[in-house]
Amino acid sequence: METITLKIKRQERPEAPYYWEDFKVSYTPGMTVTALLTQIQKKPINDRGEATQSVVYENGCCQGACGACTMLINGRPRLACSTIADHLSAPIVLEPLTKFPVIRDLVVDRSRFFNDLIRASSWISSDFNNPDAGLVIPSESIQKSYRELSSCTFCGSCLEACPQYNSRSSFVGAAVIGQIRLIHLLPMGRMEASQRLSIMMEEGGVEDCGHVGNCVKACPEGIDLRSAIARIEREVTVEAVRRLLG
Amino acid sequence: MGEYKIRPYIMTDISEITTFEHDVIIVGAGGAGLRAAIESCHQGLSTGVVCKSLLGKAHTVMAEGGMAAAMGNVDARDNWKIHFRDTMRGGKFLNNWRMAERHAKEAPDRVRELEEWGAVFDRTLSGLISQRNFGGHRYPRLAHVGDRTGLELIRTLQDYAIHQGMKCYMECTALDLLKDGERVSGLVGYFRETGRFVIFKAKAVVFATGGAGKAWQVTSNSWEYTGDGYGMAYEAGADLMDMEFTQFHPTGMVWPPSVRGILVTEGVRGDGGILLNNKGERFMFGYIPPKFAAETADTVEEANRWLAGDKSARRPPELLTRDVVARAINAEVKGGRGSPHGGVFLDIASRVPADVIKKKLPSMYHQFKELAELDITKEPMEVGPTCHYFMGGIRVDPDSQMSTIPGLFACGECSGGMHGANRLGGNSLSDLIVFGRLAGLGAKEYVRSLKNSPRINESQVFSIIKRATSILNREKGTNPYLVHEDLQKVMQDNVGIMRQEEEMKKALIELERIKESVSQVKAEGTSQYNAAWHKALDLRNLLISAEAVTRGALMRQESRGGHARLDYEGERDEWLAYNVVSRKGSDGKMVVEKIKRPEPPEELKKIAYAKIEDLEIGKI
Repeated sequence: METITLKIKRQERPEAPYYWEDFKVSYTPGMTVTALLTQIQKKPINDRGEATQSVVYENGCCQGACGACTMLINGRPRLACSTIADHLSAPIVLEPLTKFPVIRDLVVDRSRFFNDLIRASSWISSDFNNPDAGLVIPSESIQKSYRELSSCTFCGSCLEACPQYNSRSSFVGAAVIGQIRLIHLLPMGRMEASQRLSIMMEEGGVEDCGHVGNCVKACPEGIDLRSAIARIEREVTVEAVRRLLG
Repeated sequence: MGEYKIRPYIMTDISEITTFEHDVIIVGAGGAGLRAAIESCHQGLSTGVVCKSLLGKAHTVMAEGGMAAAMGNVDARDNWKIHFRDTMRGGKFLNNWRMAERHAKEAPDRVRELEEWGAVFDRTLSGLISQRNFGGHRYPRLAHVGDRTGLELIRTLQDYAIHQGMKCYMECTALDLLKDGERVSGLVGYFRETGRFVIFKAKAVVFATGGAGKAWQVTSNSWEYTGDGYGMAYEAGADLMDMEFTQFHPTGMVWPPSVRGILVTEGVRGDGGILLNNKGERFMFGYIPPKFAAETADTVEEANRWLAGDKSARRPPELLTRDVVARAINAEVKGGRGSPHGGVFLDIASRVPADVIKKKLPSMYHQFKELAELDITKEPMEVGPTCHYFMGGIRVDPDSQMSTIPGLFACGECSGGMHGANRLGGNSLSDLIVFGRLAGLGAKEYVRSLKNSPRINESQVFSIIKRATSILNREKGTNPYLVHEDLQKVMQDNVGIMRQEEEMKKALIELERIKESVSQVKAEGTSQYNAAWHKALDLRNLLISAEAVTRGALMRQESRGGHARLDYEGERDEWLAYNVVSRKGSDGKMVVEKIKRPEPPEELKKIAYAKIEDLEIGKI
């Protein structure tokens, strides 16, 4: 059986220094990065033959639907469960996402992402048991945009790729703006648009976007986040004018 | 709050442990847990949700096909009675009658409610919620979002639950329940990140913990599916019911090996895909059970007319219930007519235009492109059965969802009864939402009825923590990953799709041996995000689940739905009268017994056994 080398950036605790450790793992064509990491868990022995701690990583659905396993694979943010080792140059370098604090090894703390979704009121606060529910018929084009934006798995790739998203700024990032756009596509969502747009006008809102477009390239679902951001920018402008005119 | 030094572990005072207090604690943040949380919040109860992974990564996110609800949008002949009849027939009449009735009646309202909260289902040309065909459903019935219905549901439910005021404890694993006398008083868990223990004090606990597919080698289930709810409920004295009924989904990926078991949605067949053996034969025509013969096409010509939209044509045999299709594939492979990697072929490429496949089944297209480097619009897929779902689970009251322990509720896959011996595709998402809501309501009724708050028993807390820390503290022991593999192999080899007494007895002996290994399991390192420790803690629950399945399967001497025996072929009428229940005996060993099922109400019985024509014209 062939072997392949994984070079993994490791860190024992949030405040601990990082170090690199290499692992030689058995490999058959078609194996995903997640499958390779599973091998290390079963037999945590590094390439110098020393017993070591199992490498810790996030793992969810294993079919690219949940977005839990995002990490840097050879320098790019990717889903470990959907990345086949065959096409990667060896050694395969695995690092945790750099935009979030490391908890351990490849696991990061994504609380900021969740908190930003909450901060942006990313929900519809309709009445409970509204008899009109489901009666609104979205047009074909709205369905299409909705479908694209709703395929977001909250994997965080767009945030990793964004130069404006970092520990020095409070920018909410493309995924959150995409969710606001998604909600504003629905009549129910538009009813509370003003409140969400207020947040988008604040520091960390849509105006912090630098229009680099890395988010679009990084998105594993191929969501056109750039146009979602442009739409929210326009909504913000219209809202600002509306407020000015009272 | 004190920091824990796990090794050596010295616990001095319970005040060292953080305690969170809520009226209701829900374990699990999939569809059922979130829907229960929404209801509980809406009823004015303080609600906490404990989930093993991050919010939004629960198993529901993987659901592809859709959510069954008799809305009649695509075929107006559909109504709740026909959905109920399909569910009972699919479950081989072992379903809890009341649950199947409520499910069929309430599912359409739950779909509409989701749209109110921001979900958008695919539409028909006239703008109604579209519905797709699925195995065992007489009419197109599954409200869907492409082949990613679960993602839409999870996002909608979690956003709305947060809005309703749910407090979420993420990456937190529940270890065991706490009781005050007979009733529930909360539970102890630990945060995966820090390894810190935590007490959740609650008046009611709702389990929405899913199944235990991880006890098998080939499974569509993710790492979270380790039967935590079964294990904890069992240890606390609750009844588990119908555990012998495990669903093997007929179409999982078989190649490449590292993705074996990953689900290929039934939607592929619902949208026209057919199953072929290595001779190119559409073999399902040879496996139509007599009970379904009257409603299944018996020629390729008729099956094709059905696909073309001819409403007088009968359904193709590829859309028979999952138990039937899984066994057929198993038989083809065993008979030497399988595909190169031990499955059969699932062909949609030659049936449906490429652009339609990409539109209707986008994630299947990407899944095969990325993982198997195969273009499903050009080539057939290779598929085979994969352990997918537990029909059985915690025994609950059909209306309140309360288990046999006061204050402990269960909903979704971890509860039993709704699906009988076999679940229809699409009935799971609707199950989550219908019974999640009922569990929330049930918890409210229970909490309101309490005269005083249950108290936390400190010695219970210490013994739970001691069990967990002993895995870290012992000098040496067994490797949790290898013990898990051992268990998976035993179940795969001996308690699979086709079962027989000899193998199951062997499995029980092997499970005893594994029990010994589990009691000696050792995780290296500290409790700080220690994956081996997490795995080791899951093993007890997996083992309880596996044992309950095996003992139930051994006791039930017939073949029915998801439980098929080589030594007792066919359904036996005498067994229709019983459920098999397992619980922890006074000597600590598992007790299994047959319990008599209640007689169904006349009205429901009439519907379930009616001729389809009589239901369609409203005669019944």
